[in-house]
Amino acid sequence: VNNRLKVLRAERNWSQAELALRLDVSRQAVNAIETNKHDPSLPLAFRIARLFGMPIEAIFQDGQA
Amino acid sequence: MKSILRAMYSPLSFDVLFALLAVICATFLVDWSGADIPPIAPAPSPLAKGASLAAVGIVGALLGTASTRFDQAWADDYVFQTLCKSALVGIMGFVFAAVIWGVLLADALGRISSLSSLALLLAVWSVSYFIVRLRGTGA
Repeated sequence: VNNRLKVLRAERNWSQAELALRLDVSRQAVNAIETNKHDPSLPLAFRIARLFGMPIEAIFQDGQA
Repeated sequence: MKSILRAMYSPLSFDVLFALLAVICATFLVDWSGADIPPIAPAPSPLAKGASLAAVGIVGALLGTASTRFDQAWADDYVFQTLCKSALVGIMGFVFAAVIWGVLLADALGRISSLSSLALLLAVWSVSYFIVRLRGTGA
């Protein structure tokens, strides 16, 4: 699954640590998602979508599609 | 309390924990390989021992389920998936290592004891943890 998390974070001038704090996860979790080393669970994906005020599919794209 | 638990369940805490575990297990692998371990006498009642072992196994699984629920509540998504995947890789890695040892090395270097097997399992889990940390949970 590809994602636009890094771009969306950069648009808001947030550091990884700041985004991690807002999502209540570790900074390493944010880094792993941004570098496509980790696919977030559905609850975390929903939290990310809510934080950025966007639908999940606008942030995460299925690599198969 | 929440901040302490969060810190305990951070990736860095587990990095330190598994690094220490790897070193300790490597030490015990060497140490226990030279230990004179007495043979286990046959059980007077194999049925009772076998059934008791199965019961203890079920209790262990239930305790593991309860403790894992606690882990899942406090570890974040990434840490929990890393622990799960590394445990799975660790078990598979241990089975492969045990088979390789039995087929290729046991005759030359001797069979391994249950204590060494435990140390080997934990050592393989530690290595697996760092592989998953480096390559990611999807690798």
